[in-house]
Amino acid sequence: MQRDGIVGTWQGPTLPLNQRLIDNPGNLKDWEPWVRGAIIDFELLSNLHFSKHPETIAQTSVPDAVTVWSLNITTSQNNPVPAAAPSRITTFVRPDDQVFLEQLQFLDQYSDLREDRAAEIISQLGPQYAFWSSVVYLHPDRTKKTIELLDAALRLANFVEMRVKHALACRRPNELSPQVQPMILTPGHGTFPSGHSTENHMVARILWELLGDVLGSTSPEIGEQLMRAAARIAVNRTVAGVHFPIDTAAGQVLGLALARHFIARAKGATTASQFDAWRFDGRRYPGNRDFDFHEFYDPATGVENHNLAYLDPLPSTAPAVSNILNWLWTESVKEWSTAPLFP
Amino acid sequence: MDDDDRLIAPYVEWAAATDFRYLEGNWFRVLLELNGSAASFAGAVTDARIADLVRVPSIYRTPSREFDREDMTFCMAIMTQDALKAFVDIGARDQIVARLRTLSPLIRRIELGTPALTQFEPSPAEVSTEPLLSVPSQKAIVAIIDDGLAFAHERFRSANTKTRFKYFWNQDESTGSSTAGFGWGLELTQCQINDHLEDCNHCGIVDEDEVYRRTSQNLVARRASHGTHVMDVACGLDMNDVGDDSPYLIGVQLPKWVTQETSGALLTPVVHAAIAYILNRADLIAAEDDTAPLPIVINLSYGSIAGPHDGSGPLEAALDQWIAARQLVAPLSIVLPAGNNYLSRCHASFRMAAWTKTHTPVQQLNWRVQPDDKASSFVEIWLPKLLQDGTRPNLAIRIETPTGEYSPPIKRGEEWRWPSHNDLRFRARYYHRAGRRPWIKLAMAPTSEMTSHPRTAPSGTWKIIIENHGSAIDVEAWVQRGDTPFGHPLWGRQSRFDDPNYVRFDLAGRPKQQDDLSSVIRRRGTQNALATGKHVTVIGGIRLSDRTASEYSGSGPIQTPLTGPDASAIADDSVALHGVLAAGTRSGSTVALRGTSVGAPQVTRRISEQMTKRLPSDRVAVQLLARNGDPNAPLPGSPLEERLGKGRIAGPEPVSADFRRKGA
Repeated sequence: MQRDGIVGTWQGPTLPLNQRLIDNPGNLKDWEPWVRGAIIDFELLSNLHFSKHPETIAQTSVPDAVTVWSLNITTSQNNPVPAAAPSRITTFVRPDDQVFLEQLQFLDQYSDLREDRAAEIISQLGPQYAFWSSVVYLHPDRTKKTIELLDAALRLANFVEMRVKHALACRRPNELSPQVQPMILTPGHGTFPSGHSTENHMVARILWELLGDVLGSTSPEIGEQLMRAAARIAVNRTVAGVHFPIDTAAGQVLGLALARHFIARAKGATTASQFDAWRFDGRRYPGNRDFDFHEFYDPATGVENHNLAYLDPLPSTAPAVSNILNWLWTESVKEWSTAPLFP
Repeated sequence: MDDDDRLIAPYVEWAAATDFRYLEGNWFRVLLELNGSAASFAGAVTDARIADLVRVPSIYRTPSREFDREDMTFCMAIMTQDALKAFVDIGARDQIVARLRTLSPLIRRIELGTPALTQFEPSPAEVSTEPLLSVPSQKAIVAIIDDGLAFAHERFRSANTKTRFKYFWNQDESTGSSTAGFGWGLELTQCQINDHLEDCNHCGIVDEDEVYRRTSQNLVARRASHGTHVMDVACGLDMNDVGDDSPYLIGVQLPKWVTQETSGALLTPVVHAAIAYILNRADLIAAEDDTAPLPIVINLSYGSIAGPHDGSGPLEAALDQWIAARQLVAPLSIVLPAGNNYLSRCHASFRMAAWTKTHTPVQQLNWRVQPDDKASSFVEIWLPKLLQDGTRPNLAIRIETPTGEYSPPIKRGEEWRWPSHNDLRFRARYYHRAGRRPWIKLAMAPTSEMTSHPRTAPSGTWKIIIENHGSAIDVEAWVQRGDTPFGHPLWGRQSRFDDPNYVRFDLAGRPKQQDDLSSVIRRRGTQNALATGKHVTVIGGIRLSDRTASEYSGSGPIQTPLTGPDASAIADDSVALHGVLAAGTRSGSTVALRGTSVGAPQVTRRISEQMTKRLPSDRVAVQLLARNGDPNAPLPGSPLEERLGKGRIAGPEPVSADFRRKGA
């Protein structure tokens, strides 16, 4: 009705056509967040591959290792057909039955803490933004892009961890004993590695890197608190009765490896020459070993421990920077810089 | 029945009579009262070659100031089921009885403890052979015996990676076996704790979880623990406030089993070992510092309900011996809470008229036992040694089960087992021995057992019908503690007396604080049964807001020269703000815990200050401090004195206010 009332005689084009540049990351700012999400997911997932394969470890062959690969895809001026150069992110070897059977004792021990941790555990069922935003100043209005960045990381973690869990298909604690009686519904996917552990360690590592960019250098104190929070949230899943400590350890390795991959794609590898892939050999994880996040990772320095019995560093190369992810990273850093958080 | 010379071991008798069904284990810790010194007994055990039956920690064999003395007649030991059965002659094997024949006459009393998971090997004690110089130390030692001691907490450090603990002993056997002089548990010295703090220091913040994982410290996983809270109140300090005169700390964490076991009676053996440890290590500190022996104050925030309440309980007598012996070289104070059972309905007290040909006075007590109680329940009925006319008490009791079955009259020296000898679920025994107070002990199986063939007692009301066949008599009865302590999985549930004449609430709905003379259940006489000795310091609880007794704080009278506790300290901030604020298990956290357990360590702190200043610190000194510092001190002999002692010890800066200010 309004158009009929006011439009008058049709005049044809009256505004200049300034087309956007093709495939320009700057265009991302114009799209709705869910659209950016789809683009970023495509960007991240189209450069990954998953395989099950025999693996030789210490001169013996393991028939069923699983590996998440990063594909460095290149095209040339002359040949538009993409060529993919795979490099390893992480490899997992399923723990032996005996490991899980021995690990079950921790489920009994940790259940003592349920009364103490119940409120935390219930509120940590979904993404744990409330807990991250209490360590650093995340806010849905002030740090929208950062939250988009973390959401992208969480989706990547979720796709990868579900693929790995599906392949390894390890039984949950409550399938080994009717006495575990988890205090929450056991999720309908495999136990190894832990998704909560993967996601939380990944987010902690990314936030630490991001705030390092904001501050000019990484803060050991922020790293320590972020990692303590990640470890506590991950361990709470053992208290709840749905994960073994080994799941948490494997999740930490996967989460930190994915974080490094993600950061490299977003801003370039900071220590490119040292980009290692990790092989987590569950068979070599002692059944009586609890999870301690400092064993593998020192958040003060960002250095991973190369001397763990169940982990092998394998050579790998850092992925190329994605200009799409780089745009989101840069925008994220900006919103912290303008916030009077760190004067 | 003439059993005057037989040793006394009521809890061992119940365990042996039920074939240790409700207290599983092969080896058990015991506290022994001896006819002779601890050192000579320890020697006799070695000579008898019975290491497969009885073992005594080597600390008791080590010549030292204390144990050689003829008047030190207590020691801790471990014994097998077989040995215990032999000593009480219930289900004993002849061969074992024969092997223990030389030892039996040396033991006067056996107080049962919790099962021992490992048999410690002789682990010689480190003894300071250097003669201690007469140079007095500028320091005092505060020692804490408790559960869940978060020793890495910042309140017990002098710098980020420097602990104030000189020694810490985790008595949990799973943690190790190298503690010198004892042979079980894990000992950490100051250097070792400092190394752990240093190794686990990340970005200037110690990862306390990592320290505890490295040291097998499993009892501080929760946000709050009794021991850490108590320890903070007793000796916690801001790092910046630690000075040369701040006391040294020694911590002893009792084994996990002890605090899960609910009567509180089964902890006495490990408490005795803990004190032996503290005194020995205190001497090592003096030797290291080249000073005279240091004054020591030990906080023992534990309690039980049933006992003679005249200082003659085994642990009470042992504590009195320690203090008396140690006083000769340096001050030693042991601080205990008055208990939290004023309103628990676990005490009955009544007078029975004399028997006449035409009238047998009868009094009925209802003992109410809860369903789903997984621990044994006990009642102790204590009688005077002699009645006013010089005769001995002469009662007969009968039991009526909730299922309507009656016992025959149980008279002096007699025993009743129900339902049968081999299927024991209830046992009553009337101990009547020359020279001792007669008493009656009732023991009941758990009302719930998670086994396929449960052997339980029915829950409900058990009637105890008491007839007097002698002269007029005052009878006192207590239900033993049986609830589950804070922070432990539900196991025992507290049984109690039941009486329709007992009024719980006043007309305004508040918990009633005065006794009704029409009821046999009495609030008075509920003082901690481990805290009626001659030399210990006993502390009741008050509210900060109105400075009246916390509604649960136990009360005298007790059968000693004192009428109640020595003094009282803050146990609650107000009626609405329960408890006192102090440290949670991790640095930077604060929790509120209530009870006389948190009042006692406030006085422990005061005593340590007195000791550091070389001022009097024994119980008389504490009474004087309390009376002089309290403008509204209870009048001597007043009913209030039975609950609050000689006065309230609450300085202008109570602990809680300090925390509130910092938190605000």
